[in-house]
Amino acid sequence: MKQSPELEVIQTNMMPGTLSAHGFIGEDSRNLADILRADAKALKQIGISQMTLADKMQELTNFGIPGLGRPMPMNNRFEIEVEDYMGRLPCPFQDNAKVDKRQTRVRRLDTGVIMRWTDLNIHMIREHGFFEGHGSIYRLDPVELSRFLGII
Amino acid sequence: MEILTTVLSVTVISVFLALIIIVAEYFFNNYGECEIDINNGDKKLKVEGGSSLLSTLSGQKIFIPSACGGKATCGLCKLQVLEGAGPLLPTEEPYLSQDERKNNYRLACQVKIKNNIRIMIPEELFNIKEYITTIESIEQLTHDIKGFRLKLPAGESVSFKAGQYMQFHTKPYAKIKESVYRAYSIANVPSDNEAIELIIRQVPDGICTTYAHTQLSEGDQVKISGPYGDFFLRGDCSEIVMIAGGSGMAPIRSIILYVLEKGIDIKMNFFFGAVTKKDLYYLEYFHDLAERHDNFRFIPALSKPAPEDNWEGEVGLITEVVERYVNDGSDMEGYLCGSPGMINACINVLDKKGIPEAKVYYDKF
Repeated sequence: MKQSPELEVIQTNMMPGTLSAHGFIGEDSRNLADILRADAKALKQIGISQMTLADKMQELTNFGIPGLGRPMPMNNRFEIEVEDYMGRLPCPFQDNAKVDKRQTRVRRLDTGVIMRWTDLNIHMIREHGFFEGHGSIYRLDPVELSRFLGII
Repeated sequence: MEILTTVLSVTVISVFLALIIIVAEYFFNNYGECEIDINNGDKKLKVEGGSSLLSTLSGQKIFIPSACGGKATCGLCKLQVLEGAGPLLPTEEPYLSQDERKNNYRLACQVKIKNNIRIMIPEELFNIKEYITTIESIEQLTHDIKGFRLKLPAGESVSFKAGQYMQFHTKPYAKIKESVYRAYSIANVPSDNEAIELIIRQVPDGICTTYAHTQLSEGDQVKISGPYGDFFLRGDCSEIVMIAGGSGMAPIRSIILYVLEKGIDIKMNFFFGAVTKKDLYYLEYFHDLAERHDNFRFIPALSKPAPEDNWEGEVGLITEVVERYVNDGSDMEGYLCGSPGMINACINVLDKKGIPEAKVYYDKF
């Protein structure tokens, strides 16, 4: 699918070295419009909204923050480790949002599966429905994420 | 024949439109030579328009503090722009108070030079210099923290206050086409003024820290500029509480060494927090200092020591440990360096112990 000049600019912001070392697209050969469309379709098929996912991710991150990097068990279901770093990151979608440099690492206590995300992931999922491209180091598959969080 | 005419017509129209775009770009994006008037005519610079005020000044060897490299995420590059800045941008608004807006303060990284401009620069910023250093040594301090000692060119020295920071410039590497710079606190004592020591923790996916950790070797050259910052010892008290985590030890180390070297009569308590022992470093170094100096106490603490750590020191979040050790903070100052989460939590604890936020110092980048 062709994409708007606006999305072209945003995709340029997502290249390695502009805002982060590895960027947000990874090895994905699709353009940003196609990446957004495919993930929106996947979410629609399971009947989950991007807000629901972002809210749950934020809830887990908030739970882990007081641990200052120490793993925090939550409801016998998750173990949450939050690390934050100095500085803030601007959102590549140019919406003027500046997000704390924070990483949340969550382990499911029943399965041992681990997923991690940044505050920027939460923001981009909530505001833009963007889960990053395939092969990006912080790519989150919307269906896998929903399953991991226990939403489906 | 008809097809040929159509192709020719389309080509001519395309060329014509392309020419219009080129001419328009020349007139609209070329701002020509502009003048920067600094401090009411004390200094006047002729510069090419089109770049940000921050990068243009840097090109003229006038270095304005900036921790984020011009991305409008740190708010440190505030300057008073009396004329010629254009309207305030939404990217600047969160960093400027009502008073600052009234007094024409702007973020230098967001102001583009399009015409003549009048600005005010604090005198002390003219002392900031750029240095091309050589890496004398790199020390792996923990699994994700390295210490760098950068030697200044022969015959040069740098004058800094213990606690200040430098800007560290990268070169393009891997897929990264542009150089960037970030702020790192100085870890050595000011009298050691022919070198700069930095402690850099690798931030996942960070452009500058990845460069420092993966691209640099001893003998390589690194551009730095500075010193910058208002984080330094005030000492209007009898005792200070210093709290750090991770690479936040850097400015605290500089302050401790400065106080001990100068023989300043002040009692120092240094709390260094980590999760497990693999995140700690310089333990012996600080324990040794504490043994040799009565006015220095070192309290490392782990929030979740691993069984193999055989840890016999303090256990708990660094805030819990500080709470146990500090009783009456009424004649104390606080010095913090670490993650924003740690800093926020520590401000609350120190406040409870009688050290108000006005007497707690930390870098806000």
